[in-house]
Amino acid sequence: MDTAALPIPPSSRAKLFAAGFRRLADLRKISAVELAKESGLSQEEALHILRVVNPAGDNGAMAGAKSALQILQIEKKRRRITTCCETLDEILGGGISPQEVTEICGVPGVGKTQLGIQLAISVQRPEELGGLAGEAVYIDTEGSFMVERVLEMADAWLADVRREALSAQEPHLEASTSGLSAETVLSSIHYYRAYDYTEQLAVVNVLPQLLKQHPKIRLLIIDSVTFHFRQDFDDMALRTRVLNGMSQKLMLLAEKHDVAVVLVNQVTTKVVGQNQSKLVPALGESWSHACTNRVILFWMEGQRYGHIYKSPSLRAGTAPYFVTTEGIRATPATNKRPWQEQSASPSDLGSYRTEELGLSVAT
Amino acid sequence: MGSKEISRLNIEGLVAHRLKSRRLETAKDVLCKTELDLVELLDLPADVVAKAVAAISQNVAPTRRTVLEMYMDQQQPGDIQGGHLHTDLPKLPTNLPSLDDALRGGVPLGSITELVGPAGVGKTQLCLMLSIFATLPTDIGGLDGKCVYIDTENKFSAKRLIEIATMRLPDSFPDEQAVQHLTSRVLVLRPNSAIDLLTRLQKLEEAMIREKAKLIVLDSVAALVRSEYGHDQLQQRQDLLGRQAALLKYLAETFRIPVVVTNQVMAQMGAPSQQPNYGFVEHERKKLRPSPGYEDSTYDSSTVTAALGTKWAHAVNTRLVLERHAGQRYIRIAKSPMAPSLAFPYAIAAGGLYLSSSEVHDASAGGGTSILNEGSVTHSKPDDRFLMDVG
Repeated sequence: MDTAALPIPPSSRAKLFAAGFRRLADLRKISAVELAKESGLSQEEALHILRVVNPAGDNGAMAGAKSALQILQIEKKRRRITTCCETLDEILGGGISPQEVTEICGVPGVGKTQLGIQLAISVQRPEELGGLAGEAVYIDTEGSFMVERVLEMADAWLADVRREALSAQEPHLEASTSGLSAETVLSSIHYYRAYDYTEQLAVVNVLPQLLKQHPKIRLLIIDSVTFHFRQDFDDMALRTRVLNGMSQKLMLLAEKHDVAVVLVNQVTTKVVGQNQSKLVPALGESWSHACTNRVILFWMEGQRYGHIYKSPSLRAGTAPYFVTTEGIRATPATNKRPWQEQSASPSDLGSYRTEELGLSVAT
Repeated sequence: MGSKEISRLNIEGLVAHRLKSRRLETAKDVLCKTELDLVELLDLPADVVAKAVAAISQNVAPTRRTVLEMYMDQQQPGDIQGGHLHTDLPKLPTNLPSLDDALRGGVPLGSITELVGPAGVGKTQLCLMLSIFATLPTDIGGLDGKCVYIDTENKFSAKRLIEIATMRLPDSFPDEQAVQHLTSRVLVLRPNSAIDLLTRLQKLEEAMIREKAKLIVLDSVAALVRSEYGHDQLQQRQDLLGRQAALLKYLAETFRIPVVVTNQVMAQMGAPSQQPNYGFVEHERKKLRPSPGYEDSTYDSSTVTAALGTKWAHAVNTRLVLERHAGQRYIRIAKSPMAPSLAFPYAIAAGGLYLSSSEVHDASAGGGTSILNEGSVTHSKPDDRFLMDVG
């Protein structure tokens, strides 16, 4: 085919001719800048000609690029996984976000595993109710996951979701919860028990395949990410490398498969000066770069609090929460069992002050 | 597990050959390298390496199960009534009624329960009780199995075991034969060092299968490590404890049995009004040893906490604190995935521990003495601390 037949302005055609571009094939392999240089056309004109010759020939440099405006719209549309606790949700900007890695750390007994289980349940919230209707993967390295606790929280969650759907008085909302049952909730949580760090690394390696087979998975929890790495490793440099490799894979997964990654971390005692120590998240400085968000759970004067320690998009904030029979809630237990009547306020055990966690909290 | 040899993993050809020649013999060796490292080390193209790593991971990764499948496995056959799932899974009852209520039936199976308290408060007594209950038939709440009792402090007493059994459950132990049956089912191990304990735990799996043991008691977890490792060897000690915890958890989960450990309390330096100390203050230990006529003006600013530090505390699933406050003993739920924090007053008699009344104390109203999960609270009355229990 001849360049003479191209639907382009005659002046451009003349310049092409003058520069010796007679056949279309001559235009197939040349870049816009080169063409402009050789023919004396402007770069815009050259690009226009190339697009006419090969409409699909975008070189792909900007393939998939999004403007900040588009990203803003996606972020607004992106649904979050609610913690079922309004106060925590508020400081988290609505809950745990897919495509991000969130680390949850805190002292033993503060409720890290409880929060993990709660999220594994609430990720299943029906789409009609603003949820993700997703499934969860729970990688347990400590053996702290308890099936009956999941069932207990699932029952409470089901009751809540049904009540909410009913109160809206819209038939399609009610219908959206009719498919839910304790069985469906339990069977939508995929559980792995990793007994050493090799198993943990192996599970992380097989996740891409699992996520392909189960596209409904929207949440991935490792509870805890630190346990095995804190005992079996003598070579600290190797540990850092292995952990970095793992966190990179997790970040990739989060983004590629649109899942929320939640990493539970322990706290460790750091000695500062003589006879003084404070609690800091385990695994050290380099690990703290592995997560997008870091949430610290702590005790203060007998009350549990969550604190956003690090987040690119959220302001630092602190909010109280309760661990009740139903799960993580913003209000104390609702006295369902007789022996709970006196336990409206949690005990004073582990009376942590925030400065002990190495933070200062703006109240 | 991680030490799985590559030769068993169906990796063939050039990759297997190169792995072997580079001394990467186990799955662990390979997975601890980044894929980039492996490309370099094996001198193979990235896609070949990625494929091999994927195959090895697939082989080593634990099997995936849904929580529903796990639930079905843990139920006793016939327990699922009318297809409705209920939350009460089998437990080992403590036979302390209100405590059992709060714990949903007792000590959970498949996880570690820790009893923390000062010397003489009744930890060993409770361990003996649990050992007895574990041997009872399932229809009266037992686990119908043997009990492996690891006694690191030489505190186990067969006489006391029999006394508790016959006083508490005269119906179950009416004659010599029943008592003999009981005593033959409680197997006592006395490791002589922390390393010995660890080695035994590593090998315990076989004995668990052979003996059909349904309970492991470790009384106490702290004694050996605390006497053998000084405060200049904290790192080794913490590593050892970590391994011990991992093994205990493995046994608990693999055999779905309760593992009960006792832990000592230790002093903390520094007044809690100042920066509390979370370290492992070894040299405070001798102060903790109660002695008659103990005068403790030096002790005023000290507090007590469970020994062995946060790392161990992370490994414990349920923590029950036994403590004394104003002459009254309390057993308190300090950490539990199921139960709220409640305290129950109790007394010790010939039949073991008995709850004093149906009275339930909210642990938050506990006042003066309490051994904390991690933090600290001072004793308001120094005189009721660490009194030796007689009997």
